[in-house]
Amino acid sequence: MNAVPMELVCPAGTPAALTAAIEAGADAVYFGFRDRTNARNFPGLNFSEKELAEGIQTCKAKGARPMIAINTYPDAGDDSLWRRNVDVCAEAGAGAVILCDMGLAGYAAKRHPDLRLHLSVQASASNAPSVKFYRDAFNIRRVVLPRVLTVEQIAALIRAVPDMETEVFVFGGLCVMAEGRCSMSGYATGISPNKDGACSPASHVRYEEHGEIMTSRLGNFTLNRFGAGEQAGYPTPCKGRYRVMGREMHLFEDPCSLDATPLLPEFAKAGVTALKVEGRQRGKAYVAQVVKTLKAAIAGEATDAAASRPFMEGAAATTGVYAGTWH
Amino acid sequence: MPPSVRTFSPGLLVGILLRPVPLSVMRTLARPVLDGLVRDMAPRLQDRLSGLTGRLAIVPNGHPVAVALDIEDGAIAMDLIEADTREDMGAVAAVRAPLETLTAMLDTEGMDGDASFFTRALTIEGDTSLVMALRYALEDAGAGVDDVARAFPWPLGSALPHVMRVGQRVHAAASRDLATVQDAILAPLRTELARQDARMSRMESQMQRTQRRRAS
Repeated sequence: MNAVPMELVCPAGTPAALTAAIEAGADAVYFGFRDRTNARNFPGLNFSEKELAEGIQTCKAKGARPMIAINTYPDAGDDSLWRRNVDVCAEAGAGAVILCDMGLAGYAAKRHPDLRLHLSVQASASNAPSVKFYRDAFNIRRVVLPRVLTVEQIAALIRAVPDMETEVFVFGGLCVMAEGRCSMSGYATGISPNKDGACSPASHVRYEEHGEIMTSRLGNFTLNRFGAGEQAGYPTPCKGRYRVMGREMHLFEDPCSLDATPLLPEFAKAGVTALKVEGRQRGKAYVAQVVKTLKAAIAGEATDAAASRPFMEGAAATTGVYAGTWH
Repeated sequence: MPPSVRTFSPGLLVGILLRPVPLSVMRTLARPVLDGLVRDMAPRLQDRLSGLTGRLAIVPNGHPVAVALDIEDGAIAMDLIEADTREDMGAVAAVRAPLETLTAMLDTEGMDGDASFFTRALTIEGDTSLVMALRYALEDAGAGVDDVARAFPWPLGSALPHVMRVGQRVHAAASRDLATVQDAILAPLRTELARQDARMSRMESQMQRTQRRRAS
């Protein structure tokens, strides 16, 4: 059981969202560069170098820890952009850098031994030997766990590697694949989520309205047709609806959002260090509402579960794999 | 009627009332406000829109006019155009939503773009990149009613926040009244649907009984 409250790590896609997160009570804010080193590399989103340095200073001034995500895999033979961004973070005084590539982790550990390193969910480290390897090889201090583990499995991992901090997603969009290893969107568009930082890049997404029916497409693939009054979901291949053996279904995952708020006591009991909110692509209204609700829940205060529901994909919530009811 | 016009809202009513007003009159009246908005907002939007080019049309549902934003590598120009299909508006992207949704998206206490999209209050056509970039640019610029107020010529601009506060109270009351009207208009349809539903249930039960009899 944790002696200190779990840290709430919140997303920011813009300086405005960063301010909203801090005002709502975020203990830490994660954000990233406006380039391919960022797994949320969407048009108009993210921080220029200047904004990033200012964001780090804003966080520090307000007592929140700034974490910078450099969480894509560098190009073969040229990791200069990724290395440069690590250097910029160290220079700007980032509270931590969240990365996934071993080569980059090796570079950061050697070049900036005082820079705190966190292992991104994109590294998909989901077992004790893997986590121990990252700790021993690169002095990784915290692992963001993939959303494929039950609470019991998380507790066992923490018992096996007690000196490694753990961070788990508690709210936001769900990725059902082994993160960092999914190639579906890349197959459909030629742009890789893992190397270019964009799953279902906006340039390849199209929506068509036919009366009450809305069709979503990614590249040359039709992903979904939403009927009259039906809630829409993200235009990602894993949320698509397909005809399989004569049956039309969400083959991989229903469009719904993760909300593990009811499991917070169990996370605390398991020894989880930090709780993470997904959604750097979301607006400041989402950030403000979700952070405020979770902060109250961590403090043990009564929360209005319905308040965050309008922000959920499909207006539906799941506790995902954590409760062991969904795989 | 576009698919997302589902609620009889005050915003829709305003759109219907605007229909007899000629576009040329609305453009003339809007020109100083749009010019003021561009002067004020363009420098704050430029960075996040850089590298993007094309016309984006923002269409309040049920309104006769749309706001056209012409983006040229970060620089913007604004105009009022006749609301139409995306192609006929010459837009590479179009966003359609109730006036209330478009306004609420500028507010931290409101909804974000994804949430409005999930509920299908907001629809996107065409180049999704341009829509996303504009959304993030507007949000980061803190665009809102204050910007519109600044763009209005004196003394209208300074009166606008007060008018908006009064307008919000009127809007809330009008929304309740219009919901009652909509409820009354739809009542016969609901009765008919309930009747059809009951008839379907009876037929299904009959079919099941027939199948059981045949099986035995």
